[in-house]
Amino acid sequence: MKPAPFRYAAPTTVPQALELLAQHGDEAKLLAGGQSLLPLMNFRLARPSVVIDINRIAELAGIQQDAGVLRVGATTRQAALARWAADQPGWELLRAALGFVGHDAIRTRGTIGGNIAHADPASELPALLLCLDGSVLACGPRGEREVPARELFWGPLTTSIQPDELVTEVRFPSPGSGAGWGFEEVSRRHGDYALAGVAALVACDPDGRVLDSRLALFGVGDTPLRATDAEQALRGREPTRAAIDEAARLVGPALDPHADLHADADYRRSVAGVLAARALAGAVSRCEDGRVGATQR
Amino acid sequence: MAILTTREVKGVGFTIPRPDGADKVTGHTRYVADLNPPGLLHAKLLRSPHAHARIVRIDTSLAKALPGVRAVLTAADIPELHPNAKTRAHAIMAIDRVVFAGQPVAAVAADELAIAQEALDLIGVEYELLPVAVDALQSMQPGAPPVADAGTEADTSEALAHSGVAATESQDDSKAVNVAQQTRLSRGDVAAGFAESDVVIEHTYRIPMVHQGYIETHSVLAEWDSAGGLTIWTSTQGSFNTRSEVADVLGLPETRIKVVPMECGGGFGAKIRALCEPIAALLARATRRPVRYVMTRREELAAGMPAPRVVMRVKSGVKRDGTLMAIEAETILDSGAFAGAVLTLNGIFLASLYRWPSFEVRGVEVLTHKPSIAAYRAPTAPHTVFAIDSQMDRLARALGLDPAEYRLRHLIDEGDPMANGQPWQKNGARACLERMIEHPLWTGRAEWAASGGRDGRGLRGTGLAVGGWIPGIQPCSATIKLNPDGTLNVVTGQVDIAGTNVGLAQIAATAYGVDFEQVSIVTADTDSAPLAGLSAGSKVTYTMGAAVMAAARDAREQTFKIAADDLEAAPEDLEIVDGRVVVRGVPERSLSLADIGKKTNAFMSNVPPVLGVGSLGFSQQAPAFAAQLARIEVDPDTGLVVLHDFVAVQDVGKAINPLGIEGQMQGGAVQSLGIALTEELQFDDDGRLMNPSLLDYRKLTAADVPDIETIMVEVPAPAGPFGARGVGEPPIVPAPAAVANAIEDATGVRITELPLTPERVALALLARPSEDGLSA
Repeated sequence: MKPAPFRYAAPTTVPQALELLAQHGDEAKLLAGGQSLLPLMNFRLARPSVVIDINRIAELAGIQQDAGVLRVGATTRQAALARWAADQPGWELLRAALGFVGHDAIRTRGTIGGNIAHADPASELPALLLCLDGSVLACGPRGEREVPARELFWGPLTTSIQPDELVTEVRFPSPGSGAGWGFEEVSRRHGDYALAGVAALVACDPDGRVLDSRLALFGVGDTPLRATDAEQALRGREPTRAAIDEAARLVGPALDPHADLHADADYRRSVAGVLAARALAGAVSRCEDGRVGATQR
Repeated sequence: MAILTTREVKGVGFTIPRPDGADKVTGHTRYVADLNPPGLLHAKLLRSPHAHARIVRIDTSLAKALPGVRAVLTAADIPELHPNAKTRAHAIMAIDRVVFAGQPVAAVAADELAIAQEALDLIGVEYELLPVAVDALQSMQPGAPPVADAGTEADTSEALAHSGVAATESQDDSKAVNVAQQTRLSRGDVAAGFAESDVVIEHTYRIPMVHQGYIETHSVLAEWDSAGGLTIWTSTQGSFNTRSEVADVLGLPETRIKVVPMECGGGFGAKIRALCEPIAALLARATRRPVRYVMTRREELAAGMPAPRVVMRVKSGVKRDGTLMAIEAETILDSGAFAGAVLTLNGIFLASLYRWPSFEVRGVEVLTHKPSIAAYRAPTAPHTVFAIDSQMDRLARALGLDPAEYRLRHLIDEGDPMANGQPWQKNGARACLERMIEHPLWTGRAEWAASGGRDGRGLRGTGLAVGGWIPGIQPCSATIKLNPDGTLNVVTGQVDIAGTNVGLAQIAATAYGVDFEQVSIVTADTDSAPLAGLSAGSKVTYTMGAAVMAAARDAREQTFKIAADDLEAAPEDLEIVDGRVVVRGVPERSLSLADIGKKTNAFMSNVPPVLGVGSLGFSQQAPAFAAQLARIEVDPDTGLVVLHDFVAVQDVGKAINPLGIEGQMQGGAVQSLGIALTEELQFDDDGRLMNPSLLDYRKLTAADVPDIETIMVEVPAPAGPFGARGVGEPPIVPAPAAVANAIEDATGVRITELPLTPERVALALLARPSEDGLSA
């Protein structure tokens, strides 16, 4: 199928884009990489009357590291960020997560900002942002504001970004040099949306006790989620296998996943717990021996 | 049918890449959707959103008023349409009742596709919803909502065309509602067989509807000339069959219809029967313009002609020493809204792939309010072999016997009776299995299993299965002519859906005595080509290959006759060497093929042109088998099955073009693995497809499968050209059973329902008895 008729605008500056958004409000959709919007339009599940193509706003693309925060322009392609992360120590978790985003062809077009703003609950990058306690920068008629990931995701494909606002930047704080990471996902095929997935970070003190643990889940709720009970259960403890399993057991019961064509709720709940244990174990192994990037399984 | 050539030519047995490959991968090949004749109109169909409903009213006035719309047709506009349509092709449009979601209720032709699409939104249809029968078990019960109109006869023509193996018994009495066909095959005393059995195993196997998944959707372009002749450019697996069906639907003599078979971007059985040709022809007639209709992927999935859903209950009994005693089976085949399934092969493979002394297998074809089915590469054989091979594997395990040895011990051989009483013809089932069990992945299966379950690895297992198909036969003919430059043109009406034209050129080359580069194969339209059959049933090389071979031999004889006069030698003393006809042993006495060709085309010459004709009928089918092995790892906590290695062994009779066969073996294996692991058309309780896109209907891709190792064995088919037998269908058959066997090998759990999704595997593992503390 082809999209329903729409008007097309291609602003070259952020103020122009904001003006168009102000003018058209709910009627407008922002086009970044088009990897989600265009299929929705082709199936006529989305029928925006105006499409505002932000790919020609040069200032929106770019990657810079700034005081431990990775600032990624909204229209930066996923493939570009993956290339950047390929040889950057400390960003292995980002690299691992990007490897699960669709396929090469999708990552070549798909953008970081678009992926976050689309807020698919089964998508990897929103969960990664939540795991890293990141944020997005949103510009609108009331000026610029930074929205923390925890306040960003409201529901499936729904965020706290207002219809007259534009995400200009995504900010990923560095996991910190001592932290270990884990990333696990189960999908039906290579590149499919996750049935369940987990991103984990663990930092330990010199005595080997857990200083900080973070566990972000995706594919198991209306938004990406932090497993706060499990995180809490591990803090201050020695991260033994038993402690990890105990923490991971708290994950499933706290979830209310949806059932769909691909898996039912019980399966997702169960697998989320399994993957949480694996991701935590992976993170601890990378944290303890300090060899970041060591392979797990 | 050995043929002697006096020296080796580049022909049969050479590995030859497809000459059309580069054009295909660079987008230069022209398909129906690329045809843009002047005045072209674009068609769209309005399809019912309901699986079963009465059409109360259709209002097309707004659509007709839309600028750019040239015609809007409903059933009322089509005099050729009759109630009780005998096939899906005849049911061009729903008359007053729709019987599946996706059934066309109106058709539009417009100047642009977007206008046609827009017009669909302007057609008002009022439906009165009727009760729906989605599940076959429910649909065959008395009182179920009817699918077919009263009096509709079961259509078994495809079943017959496809296989040719006729059931000895079929019973038509006691027809329950929505039961289109019943078959029964039996021999011996089954009750006594079970009574004497020491081990009896019974399972119910379930395989959902799957879609063939060809890349090119159904596409057709139709145009009428001023004399009332209809030309149809279409993506078809059989141009003459398409012509006959369209002629029957529209009530036209076949001479008035020309079918031009275009490049076919995959069919796998779904492009045997006509589907969109009649409506395109009717829109073209109404508008007096060429009309093109190309189905969308969504329409293909929701309203194409998929493979049936199959449920099989199989009970088999054996003695403690493994002796087969009895098998009893019941197959329920869900054909969707129109009948036409192949049931007999299901019975033959269930009852007589292994030597069961007594059996009773019953089959029922049931109609439901879902899209009707078509063939899909060895129709129902992957399903049937999933059941019978799983049974054999289970029996061997229950008896503590080696599963491969157990199969070998009881597998049929040439001369054993099939369930319908006919003898099994010479075949390579045993040769495939014997070759497979020598493979290091099979001999090393214990080490593989032992390496799992430790160091964070999943449970590991290996499974194999053997299955195949009894390829079809159909009369066909071919011509071959010698050109003035000494090259050869072969003309057939055989659609090339699998690279078969390369093989035909190789056959012609070897049979005539030149290199294959000297031979061109032309697939002509139905006006120009001699009759040819379907490109289906694994029979193009077996049948058309034989016709081309006969034509080439005929041409060779004619060539020698001409040369003999000139060289003053007897024809039997001649041979062809490097493009020259030479007197054997006297190389200086020769005539080039170009010289001969020129003589037959020269002004005032009296030498008749060389026109070889091969026109054959066939009576002997050549069963074709494959064995496949899967080496897997199961993640016991998530149920994920990871394929590590896959091996395919196939009896090809004689490999005409090994590269082409390797492609068939790998492509078939990937489809087979898709049926095993991911594919399922999922319908809701109202009969609507829930996954009508390739995002949610999951075909395996290159990223999802390991390299597929291919091994060919050659057990010559007595009647095949150079011994070749059909190769297209067998490779789609064994994988579901092989993977399920591997899962049991890894986990001890038998799963009898496809696809083997992570969730299904995880649930099965949860349900297994506690063992080694591995599960709850």
